[in-house]
Amino acid sequence: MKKHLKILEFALSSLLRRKYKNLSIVLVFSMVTFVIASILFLTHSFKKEALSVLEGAPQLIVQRLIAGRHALIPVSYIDEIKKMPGVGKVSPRYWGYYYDQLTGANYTIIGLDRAWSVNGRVMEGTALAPEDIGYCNIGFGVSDRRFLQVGDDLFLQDTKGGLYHFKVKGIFNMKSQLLTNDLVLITKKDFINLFQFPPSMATDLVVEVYNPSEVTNIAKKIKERLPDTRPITHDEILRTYNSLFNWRSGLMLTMFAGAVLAFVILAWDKATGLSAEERQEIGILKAIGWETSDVLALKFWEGASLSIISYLTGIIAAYFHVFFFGASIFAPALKGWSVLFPDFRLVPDIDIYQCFVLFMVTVLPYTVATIVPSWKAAVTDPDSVMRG
Amino acid sequence: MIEVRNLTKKYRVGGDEIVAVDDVSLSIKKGEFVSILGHSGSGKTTLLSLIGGLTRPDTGTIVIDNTHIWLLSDDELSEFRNKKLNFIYQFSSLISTLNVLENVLLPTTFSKESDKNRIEYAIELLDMMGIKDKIYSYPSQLSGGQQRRAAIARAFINNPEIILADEPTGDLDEETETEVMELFKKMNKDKGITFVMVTHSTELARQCERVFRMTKGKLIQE
Ligand SMILES: Nc1ncnc2c1ncn2[C@@H]1O[C@H](COP(=O)(O)OP(=O)(O)OP(=O)(O)O)[C@@H](O)[C@H]1O
Ligand SMILES: [Mg+2]
Repeated sequence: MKKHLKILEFALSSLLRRKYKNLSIVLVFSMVTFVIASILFLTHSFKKEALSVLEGAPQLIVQRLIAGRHALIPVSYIDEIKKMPGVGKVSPRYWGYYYDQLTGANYTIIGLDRAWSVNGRVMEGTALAPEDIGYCNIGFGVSDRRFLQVGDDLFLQDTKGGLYHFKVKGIFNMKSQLLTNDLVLITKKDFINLFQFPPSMATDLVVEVYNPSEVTNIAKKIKERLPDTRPITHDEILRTYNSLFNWRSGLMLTMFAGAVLAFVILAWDKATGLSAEERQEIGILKAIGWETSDVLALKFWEGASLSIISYLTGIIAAYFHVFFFGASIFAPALKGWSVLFPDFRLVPDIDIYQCFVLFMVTVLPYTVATIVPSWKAAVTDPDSVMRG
Repeated sequence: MIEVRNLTKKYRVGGDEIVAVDDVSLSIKKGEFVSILGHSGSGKTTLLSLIGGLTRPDTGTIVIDNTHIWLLSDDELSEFRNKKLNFIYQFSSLISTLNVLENVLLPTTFSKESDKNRIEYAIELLDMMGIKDKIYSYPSQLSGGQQRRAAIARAFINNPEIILADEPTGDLDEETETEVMELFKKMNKDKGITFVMVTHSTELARQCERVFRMTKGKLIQE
């Protein structure tokens, strides 16, 4: 045990002695881990966010189009759709966007109806009930921007400049951030007042279908009976997400491959080259009484500490990059995502398994690549030291 | 007590076979000071390397204090070397990334001796070698002779019973050579260290108790 500590100490100080060489290795190694880990973290949280969005997404949404643009839909369409066989509940949704001049941000405002609710849990305060006139629930982003706490008033302007205020009843928690970050939840009555909605109109309709395999069929029928509508199925949303993911992952994959290549070169250099100096050092150590296992332990610690330091640096940097700086380095490659994910911070969430795999494909091969050539030198007769 | 019997070591280079050490036998008593003379390429370094357990012989035996060294496992042999003997190499053998003091302390890395004692002894040895002011210098900052003297200090640090010295005064001036030789003789007399010294200088060889001459791998006592 004590011996191992001595070897570890020796390994660390010998790393320090080759400062510049080892620093450059740590740099390259960290960069590689950083890029790979960033990509892994990013895709992982995107997938999670996307999943949580889809989880809450209804099977079938019916919108109305006028001149190819989304328009308000008459509530009377509900009865029309309900008549179709296989259709369950049909409910109207009231939602819209609100540009907040104060902060320059866009909020999504939803008018809460008995029939429909958002599945974001409230972190502080309590959830809004449909009869809570004059109250609201807000997303974390809104409370952050407007410095609002539970009990404070949120002021919103209508189109004519009239001021409305809503008492904050609850703030959504971070977990479902993508879904609720920019959200303002008010009652349906308040919503209709604020936006001066015509009373018999809704933003869109949510249609429940008894048999999931019938969704496409029913969507087609709705389109036939109500030609000015556009039914959107859950599957279509899924496809949009997927195509975006695939396209973007292609780009990331290129970066990924580059990073892996850099790493392979790094490890290869270690695995093949043992400089005459290193060989002689091993010879001297053996000649003065180090056992083969001591030399291997030394090389193990050298390789392991170097790669673990690099690995941790890379992982931690990637964590901050992705979750605190919004993966800013990848921004150009990520542009497309902002269609689906406007400005928001990803919720820190990492997959331990991914980190473990990354560890296994970087630290492990590098350490092995350090040991193997030294092992060859250590088991052969150390007489090279006699001849310099 | 070193007992060498019928030792042979051949090297194969390309198609040719070089008999570096050819059926050599010799015995050296504890506390003896022997020297080996010989032309370049006659096999002196190879013989020392065999005796010290760095090179495996093709045939023959080496027994040091009743231990057949080539019957030991690799690890036992390492430990044996660390306890019993130490080398002074023909060529610079300092680790370039360690400073002089660290190089000298190297053989005691795993010793039970306290750091303070080890360092004190190392400095004492470096003082004897006349390079006490260079303890924090790196090998590349030393002259050839200074490097050699650091290597000599290193050879004594673990209190070996046997020193195998391969042209230890090779790049030293005459005056330092004499000093080093005096130190060796003192160590030999005071501590009973056995010396096997390869040298080119008949002058130095004459100061030893016994002189051997190597010619084309064969060893004869003079
Ligand atoms: N590793 C090796 N591979 C092949 N041949 C070797 C090897 N080591 C030594 N030899 C050969 O063995 C012979 C003896 O070499 P050695 O180094 O023992 O000579 P030496 O007496 O120490 O010479 P010098 O006085 O120049 O140091 C030489 O011919 C040398 O070329
Ligand atoms: Mg020689």
